[in-house]
Amino acid sequence: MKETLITILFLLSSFILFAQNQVVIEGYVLDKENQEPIDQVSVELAGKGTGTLTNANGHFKIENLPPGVYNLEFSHLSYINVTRKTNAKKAGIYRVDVMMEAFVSTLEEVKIEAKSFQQQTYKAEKISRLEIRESAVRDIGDIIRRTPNLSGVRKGAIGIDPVMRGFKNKQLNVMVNGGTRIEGGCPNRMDPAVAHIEAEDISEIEILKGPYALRYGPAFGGVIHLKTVKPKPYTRYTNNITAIQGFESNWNGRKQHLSIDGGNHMVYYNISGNYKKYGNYSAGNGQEISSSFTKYNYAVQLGVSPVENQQYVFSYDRSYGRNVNFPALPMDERSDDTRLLSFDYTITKISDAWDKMRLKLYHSDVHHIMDNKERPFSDTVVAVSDITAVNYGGRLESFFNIGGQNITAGIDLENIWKNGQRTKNFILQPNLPLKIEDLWKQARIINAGFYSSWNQQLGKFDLTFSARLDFNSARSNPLILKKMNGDVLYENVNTASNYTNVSISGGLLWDIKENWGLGLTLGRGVRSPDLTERYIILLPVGYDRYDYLGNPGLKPEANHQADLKIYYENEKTGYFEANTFFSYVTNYITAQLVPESYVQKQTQDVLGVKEFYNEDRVYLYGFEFSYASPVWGKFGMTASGAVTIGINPDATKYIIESGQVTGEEKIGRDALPEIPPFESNIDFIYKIIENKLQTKASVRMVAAQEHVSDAFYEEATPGFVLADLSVNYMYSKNLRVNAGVNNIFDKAYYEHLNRRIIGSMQPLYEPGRLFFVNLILNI
Amino acid sequence: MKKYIILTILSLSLIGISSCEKNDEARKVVYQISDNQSGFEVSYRNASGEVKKEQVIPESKEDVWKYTFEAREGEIIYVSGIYDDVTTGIKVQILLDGKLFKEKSSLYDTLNYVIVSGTVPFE
Repeated sequence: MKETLITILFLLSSFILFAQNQVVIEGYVLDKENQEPIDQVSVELAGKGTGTLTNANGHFKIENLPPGVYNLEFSHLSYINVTRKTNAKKAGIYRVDVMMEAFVSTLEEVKIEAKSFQQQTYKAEKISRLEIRESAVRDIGDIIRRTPNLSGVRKGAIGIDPVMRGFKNKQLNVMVNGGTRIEGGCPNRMDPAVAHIEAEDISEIEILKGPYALRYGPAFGGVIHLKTVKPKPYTRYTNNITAIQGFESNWNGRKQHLSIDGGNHMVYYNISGNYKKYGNYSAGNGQEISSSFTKYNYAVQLGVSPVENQQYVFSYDRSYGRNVNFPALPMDERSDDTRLLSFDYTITKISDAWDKMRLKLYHSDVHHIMDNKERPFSDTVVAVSDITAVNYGGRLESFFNIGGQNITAGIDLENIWKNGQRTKNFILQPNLPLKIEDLWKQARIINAGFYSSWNQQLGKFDLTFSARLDFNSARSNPLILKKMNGDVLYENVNTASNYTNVSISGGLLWDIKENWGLGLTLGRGVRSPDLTERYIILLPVGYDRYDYLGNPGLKPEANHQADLKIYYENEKTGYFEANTFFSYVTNYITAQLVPESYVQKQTQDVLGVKEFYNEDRVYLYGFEFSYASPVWGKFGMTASGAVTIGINPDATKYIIESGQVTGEEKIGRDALPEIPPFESNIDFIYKIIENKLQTKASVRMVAAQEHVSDAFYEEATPGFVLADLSVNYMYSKNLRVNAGVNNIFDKAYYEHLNRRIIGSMQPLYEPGRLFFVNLILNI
Repeated sequence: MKKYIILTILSLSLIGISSCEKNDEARKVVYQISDNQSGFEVSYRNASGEVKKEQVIPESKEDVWKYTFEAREGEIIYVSGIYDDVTTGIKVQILLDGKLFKEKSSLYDTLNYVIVSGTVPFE
């Protein structure tokens, strides 16, 4: 009877919608093991910002869609995410039924699903919650750099600073939950934005390569979007609890995670907490690396839906870092107290053409204290830096559907403010006064942006066009550095700068044949200089041994990039994707040596002072490929590889003799520094017992990096091959165990982007062999 | 009902996680000067962070000058001894929780002072 009723309703609604020339997508979601319907599965249309939840019968329905190709993303706390593509080119009702598998299955299947139906015209990747939770991961930067062409600058225990296709720092747009931004406190970036979010709180990391995703703010090299687990409405009152207990040998590290989410259709919540304590680890050569740290946090989120089409979400996250060691920097992190506050309002189905409107307001502040108290110099001079960095702003955006065209328009605002002091205590001369230096002079940047994007399906082509206009304004107190006797060492009172930047991008995705597709994207992304590049005063914040001086007169740098992607998909042979890119950067921000008569160095053992300036042009190019097999019986595999080459065609090298700069030499074509070498990953999966026990073997091959910067005296690094092995066992739907061994052969190795131990040329080695186990409880 | 009990317990443990920040522990610091019989001037950073000076005349070489206080992790510790008679010597030590942390000494040296300083290490 119930089914008959559903059928009648189904036919009735289809009649109405045919009349309206609209698309309806509906279907059922069932448990793969027992064929039972799954309640509360989130069904979202990727990239469209709309979706629904399944009901107790596992049924979902999304109405009032224009004809087009849709990617449906199915997600549930206890099941592996599934993505399905629907080619709804004509008005009508389209049925999509999905079987979801409980969490024990492979993360590779998730990868296969995610990579199979990407809608972007350019290279985009996702790292799933499962992949993060079932790894020996301490830090988001650590998990990001396991993907080819994503890497990270490592200076200490944690806080690995992402690098994407050779772009880094503020060339990448790193944000949380669709717009929250975090400004780190340390001038040496020991706490980049990714360091302030706990990996276990992540539901997904979205990586968008290139200057194309303009919706999220000024995009120059790419976007790293950290999506944390958000509260969601339930049709009936529900509570879910997830607890993780993890242990890692070698670091002697332990981690705990606890999250509770639940509520009903009107009020729902998510509460989570994490605690991590790790010690020093041994490298493969037996060397002990100073790497201990303690981190903990708690987060509370509350969602309210007073009516069906409106949602309010309030979020508060407080995180703490204590005694984090950074052997490649002159100081360690003594404490880091970070606070994130956000408010999100969403209203959907406003009118026939106006799909959705979203408002986001956020505030983040970081209080970061660093010192050299555990360094050899601390019995002579104790230096303590105490910095506060604040970032607040918001965005308002609307999504429209007009005659099959998807249009997004919005405005956003970001306000960055930074202040702090370094106090030097000359303890061998206790009668000397403390030397107090103002590090940031109350520096501030305000960026207001307007953006719009358009997307339409035209036959076999999916076309996208985006534009963005940014007004960027910065200022600080006068840049003055004085000696202890009051003499002025450096003074610059012209600190204000204002820019208007235009960014555009356009792309097409062409379904050549049923299994073949081609994507072509062109874009120009412009970013204004950051606070360090404009206002830093004589601190060694670069890759090389120089004090750096900010330049408020810098021009914005612009990235002109093209991406070409091709993919092939076949049920029998799997999914293959290859992507190549070329990037031409104008007004590239780097630094050049300035004479001693202009300003004198302030740090012991540096070679001189470099001031930021705009290099006319540099270019980067490279490729990525990935392959995901179908599941062949009990076996599956994935493979990926990537490389980037960066060239400065007009480089200058400073000649150094006996620790002094004695001259300069134009060397012309030179490699850009800090770009990782070619690497490839292969994962093999074998299901020993279906839905119970599976194993994964991973091999990571990294080539030697010999294409290094002569101008920066960058050293070549050797290649290495690593092997990891892990096992997942699902005891019950509530309890999973994940264990493994990383670096099985106890290799002594270091990544090309690992900095050297401070004061030496000794590399910062990665951990030798380590065993890990994670116990994951879901109630 | 069982689920709600578990929920309550886990919620309490979450509060436990969020409040488990370890307070900086106080460490017992001893400045100690010995092996001098001709007299010396000692300068040291005391519990209040002030630098104090004292003239010390030992009765014999076996006499030991001591100053004891409690310091938090990361706090600066400093003690120096300056003696007049360069034909003698001096030994300056800092002990943490009863164990030797740092030591320097001078004997028949033209430099007639010894400084020992640093910070209380983090556990």
